[in-house]
Amino acid sequence: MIDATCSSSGYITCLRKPHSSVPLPQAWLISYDSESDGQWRSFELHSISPESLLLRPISSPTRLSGLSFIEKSPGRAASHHSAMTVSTLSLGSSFAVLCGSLPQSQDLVLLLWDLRYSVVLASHRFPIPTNLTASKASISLKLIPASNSQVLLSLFSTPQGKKSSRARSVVFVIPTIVPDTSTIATAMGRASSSGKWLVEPNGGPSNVSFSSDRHDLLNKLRTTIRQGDHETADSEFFKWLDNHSGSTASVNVRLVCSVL
Amino acid sequence: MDIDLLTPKAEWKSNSNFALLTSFMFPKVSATFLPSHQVAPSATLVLVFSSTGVIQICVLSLHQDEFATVLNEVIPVDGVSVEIL
Repeated sequence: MIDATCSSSGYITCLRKPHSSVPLPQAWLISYDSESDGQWRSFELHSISPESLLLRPISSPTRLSGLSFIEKSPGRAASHHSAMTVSTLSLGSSFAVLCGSLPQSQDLVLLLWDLRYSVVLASHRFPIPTNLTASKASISLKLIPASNSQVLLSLFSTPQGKKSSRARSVVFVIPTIVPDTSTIATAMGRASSSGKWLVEPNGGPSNVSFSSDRHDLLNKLRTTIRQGDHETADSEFFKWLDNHSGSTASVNVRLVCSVL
Repeated sequence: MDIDLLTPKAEWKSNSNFALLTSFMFPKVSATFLPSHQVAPSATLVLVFSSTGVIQICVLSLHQDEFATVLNEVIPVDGVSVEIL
């Protein structure tokens, strides 16, 4: 794991780094499934009785794409070996913000996610400040909670062995506005813009046709949301998802994307 | 003003074999996921341990002079298998 978040409402996310090529004893046979690279898993702490607490997975794992910590350039492993190039922070409910560097670029991107629906609600791309080192590989970043409506982003450059170089840091104050709870009303219409940050299941474009039952579901959701009954819209959506997704996680993500 | 670090009021030892990835502290009753207790905690501590293919979540309720373990769960993560030949 590379990072984890936990909100006061008990929403936990764990971000998985790509497998490294660290030398291991010859007696160990390690089998890696590349499908798990860059997975962002979410769980919920849920009180089932006055005495006990349960940890249950929420939705299927989100597999990220388009960020430096996942992408591998020719001849070297993913950039997580040199510095911390991704950071996550829970904003309550299933909302989380992720900041990461972009491959073959000097830019960073901030993504506000609703992990319950695997959609990006807002994004902002900006360059690494020039007073930090020119080498992106030496930049570490960390998201830090500040208040209900503000997040701090700390960027820190590590000296690269030159005697003259000094460690430098920059702190950004990021205003954030998110609802108290996640609902399908805020997630609807966001799937297409979220696609560039997600790995397409099975490595190819979705082959799920937009059948009549999806149209029926969308119409039902629109009507319910217009009436302001977001709770019913949520339950209708997840009931439909349960009936159609079966047991495989990849199909689950594809179905969510095809509807939202 | 003084801070006494020599006489701890309570002690908790992890039984985890995995490295601590991160921790989260929620003061007073701000952790809304806790089961309803008769005694409100001073704080709630969530510890996340991780190792290859596994994460462990530990939730501790901190009271005035004791820790209560509310949850201690190990979750296998798909994608990695280790076989010692």
